[in-house]
Amino acid sequence: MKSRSKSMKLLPYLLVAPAVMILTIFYIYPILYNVYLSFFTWNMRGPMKFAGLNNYIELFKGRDFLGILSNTLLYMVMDVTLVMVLAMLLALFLQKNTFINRFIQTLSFTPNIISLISVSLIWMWLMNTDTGLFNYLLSLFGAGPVGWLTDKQVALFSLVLVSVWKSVGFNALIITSALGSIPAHLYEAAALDNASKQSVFFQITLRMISPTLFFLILMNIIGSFQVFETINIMTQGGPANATNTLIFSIYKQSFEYYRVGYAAAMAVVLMAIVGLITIFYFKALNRRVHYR
Amino acid sequence: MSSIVLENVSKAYGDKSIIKGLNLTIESGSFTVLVGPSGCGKSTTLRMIAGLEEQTGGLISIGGKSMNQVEPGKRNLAMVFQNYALYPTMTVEKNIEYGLKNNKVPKAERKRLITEIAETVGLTKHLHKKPEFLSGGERQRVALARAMVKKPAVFLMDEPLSNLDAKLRQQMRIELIELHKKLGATFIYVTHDQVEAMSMGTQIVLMDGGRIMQEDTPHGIYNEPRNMFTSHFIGTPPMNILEIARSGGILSETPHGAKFFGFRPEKAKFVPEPGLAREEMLELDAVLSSRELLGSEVIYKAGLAGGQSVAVKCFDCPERSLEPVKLYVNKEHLFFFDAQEQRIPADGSRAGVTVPSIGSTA
Repeated sequence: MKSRSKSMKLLPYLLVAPAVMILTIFYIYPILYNVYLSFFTWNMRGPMKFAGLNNYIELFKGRDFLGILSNTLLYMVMDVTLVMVLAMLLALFLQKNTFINRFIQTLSFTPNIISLISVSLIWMWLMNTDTGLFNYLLSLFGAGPVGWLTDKQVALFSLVLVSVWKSVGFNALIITSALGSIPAHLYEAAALDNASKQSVFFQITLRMISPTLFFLILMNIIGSFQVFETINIMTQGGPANATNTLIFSIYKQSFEYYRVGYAAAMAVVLMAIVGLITIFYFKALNRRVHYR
Repeated sequence: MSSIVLENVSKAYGDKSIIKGLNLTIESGSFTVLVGPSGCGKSTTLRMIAGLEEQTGGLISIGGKSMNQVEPGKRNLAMVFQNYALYPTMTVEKNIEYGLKNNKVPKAERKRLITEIAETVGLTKHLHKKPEFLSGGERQRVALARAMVKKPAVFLMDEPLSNLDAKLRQQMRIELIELHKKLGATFIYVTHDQVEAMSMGTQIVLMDGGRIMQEDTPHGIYNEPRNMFTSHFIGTPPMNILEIARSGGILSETPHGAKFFGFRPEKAKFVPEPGLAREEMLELDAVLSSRELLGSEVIYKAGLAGGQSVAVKCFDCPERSLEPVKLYVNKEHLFFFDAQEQRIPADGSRAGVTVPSIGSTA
């Protein structure tokens, strides 16, 4: 009896062991190793040299880093705002189940299944300053040309545009299904309560789908920090570092300049930022979300 | 001042007609119950009065004003939904306040009204909870409070008690009757439950297949059914209806055109009423086949010779074994119906019964 109860005590640990092992090998160990690396100078080949906080000091003293950081945050804010607002509008429009709406829904979802490489290449052509379609269309109205990917002021926004184009359909799809799950009788009760369209939208619709919006916004924030392919293919962080973000910079520093310790320190900073934003986001908004 | 008039109202979804040429006047201050089997159009009628559904044809007016172009929120009515339709994201207080806010009632006034109404329906200690933390009965009260706080001229209720358990339902029935008396507003109440209709309504509108079968007081609808549908729908168990042709000539004389006759289960007796001559009674040979004990009353099912069967309800009577019996029905209590299932007034003794008016049945 005694040995049996002992093995019963072990059973839960046994059951979670595989998951814990996978998490440890693929998540926890790399994170810790990354933090460890950030205290060293290393070029991937030679010996590792302990550097203390030098990588971090260099990071915050360097002029580039602040620019990179602000690019990253600016990209995040623009991307998340545009995606959510447009997806919301599209979802509201798609609520009516007509042929046109189903067609548009399919159409708007399609970019989501195309690989980012192809997307980047196509948009690179569209946005080409001299031969791109956009500038050609603008020229018809006597406007432009715009240096979509070559103008410092515009390039980051152009990348946001690609990201928005790719993810609006997916976000709209999720919001549409959330909208569809709002019981019709709530709208009827609101109609009898003499509620204006605005009030219905803000007091009922928006609040009923708040868990979905909360989730989507968080996913989009995290996703926007990870933007890489479009930058790598379309701008390489340029012009003049205007589209250089943390992730791209980390990649460059470690795999092109072999400054592994410096890149690792940057990764630690990125992790801290994402973590802080997530914690803040949960603290600030979670209590305002209505969970059924 | 807030009587509701429906003139020739019809409703169709596509080519499926739900309501056909409905004419109905609901008196101001009445407790009118729309009752009928599911799919009879009672809810649709209510929703058209509310403005949640637009009628395909006809005119709906409240207090003499046409409501055809008026939005639901501007009709001076409130509705209690079957599933309450409380706003799940708002607290009880906000739920009650929402309609007032939309009607631009000043904040201080809103506070006062909410406090008052919460007191009335006993919700004061729940004001800051969300509906999901309330019991069914409490949610029901919130729904009522939300309707009452607007002080509407007309209350619309769509099966508001059907989600409550039997005991609470009975309690709420009484509370609604009292509420109606207190507020003096017009209540329109939709239910499929004839007990609710009979116990609460001052006026009952019985519907079937998108038409009004009978519009009457509870007393009238029970005692003077105008057609077989009414006699069958109202009453537990329903009225016994027998085909004259299959009854083996037990009736010596029948009114002209009669095809069916019927009597209420409680009118059938096991012993002849004292002082009643033989020819004043209908005598039936029957075999009791089942027995339901319901406390103060017993309901028997009895098979007749021609293969038809009747229910017999008796109060305070000793239990009988299931065996052949004789049943006696005072002929005064017989109802006759023609081939169209419409009531035929029996004879001079039934003066006061009129042939159903074309308006409410056709």
